[in-house]
Amino acid sequence: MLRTKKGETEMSLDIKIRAVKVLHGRAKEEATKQGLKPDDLVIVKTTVDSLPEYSVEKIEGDPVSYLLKRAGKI
Amino acid sequence: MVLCHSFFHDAFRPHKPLDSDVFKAWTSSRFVANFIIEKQARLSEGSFFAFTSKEVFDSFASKFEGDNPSARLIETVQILHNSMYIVGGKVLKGLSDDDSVFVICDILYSRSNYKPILVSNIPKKVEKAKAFYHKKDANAKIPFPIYNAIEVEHFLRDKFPDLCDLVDRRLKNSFLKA
Repeated sequence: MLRTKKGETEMSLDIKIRAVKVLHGRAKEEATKQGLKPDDLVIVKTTVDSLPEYSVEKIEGDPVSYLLKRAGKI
Repeated sequence: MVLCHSFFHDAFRPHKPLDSDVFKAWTSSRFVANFIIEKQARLSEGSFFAFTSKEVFDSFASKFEGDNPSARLIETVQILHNSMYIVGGKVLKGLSDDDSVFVICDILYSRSNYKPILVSNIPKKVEKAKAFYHKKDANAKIPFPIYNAIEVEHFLRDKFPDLCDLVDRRLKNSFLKA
């Protein structure tokens, strides 16, 4: 479960950083659709309604700075 | 690799520090944090490269999130949480932040073929570890190294040169230039 800003919960199993080269199945298909390379890092967010959905977001630059920027810290 | 609170504080500092010593700790901590994320991103599900205690992580997360965190900020903490193994449970209950990471290192050292390194940017951590071990045995030796982030960066560059090159390449395209 992910907490949202209002403290509500959103159906989600997981959110983590993975290298494209270790993705499989539909997450890999999504990365391929975006034209990503094997060494690219992505944030894979898994949400579940009935069938799990995998959103893939490419990390630009180094992961620490990307996460800080994404979180509005820089 | 077992992470202390000071490491998190330095690695996720959002602005470039002005003090030269703090700057060195920041650049190395950021490098090590990027390396940990990079390494973890390639490991199979359920395998971990870095560890910390729930006490240490929660303390960092609470300060990092602040009051009324955005959904993106909460997600970031969750991503970091999933980039390492957070040890909680009865075994660490009631221990201080310092003692909790000493216990994790000792268990990793004693029960696996994992060779832990405790990462801390606090110079007094060695003295604290000695005091922890000497409580029961005045002759006990600390069975794992305690390195600051600068020393860990050297260690990683020696041991994992290819992955460190990749971390360097990503840092060149960073939003936050050193």
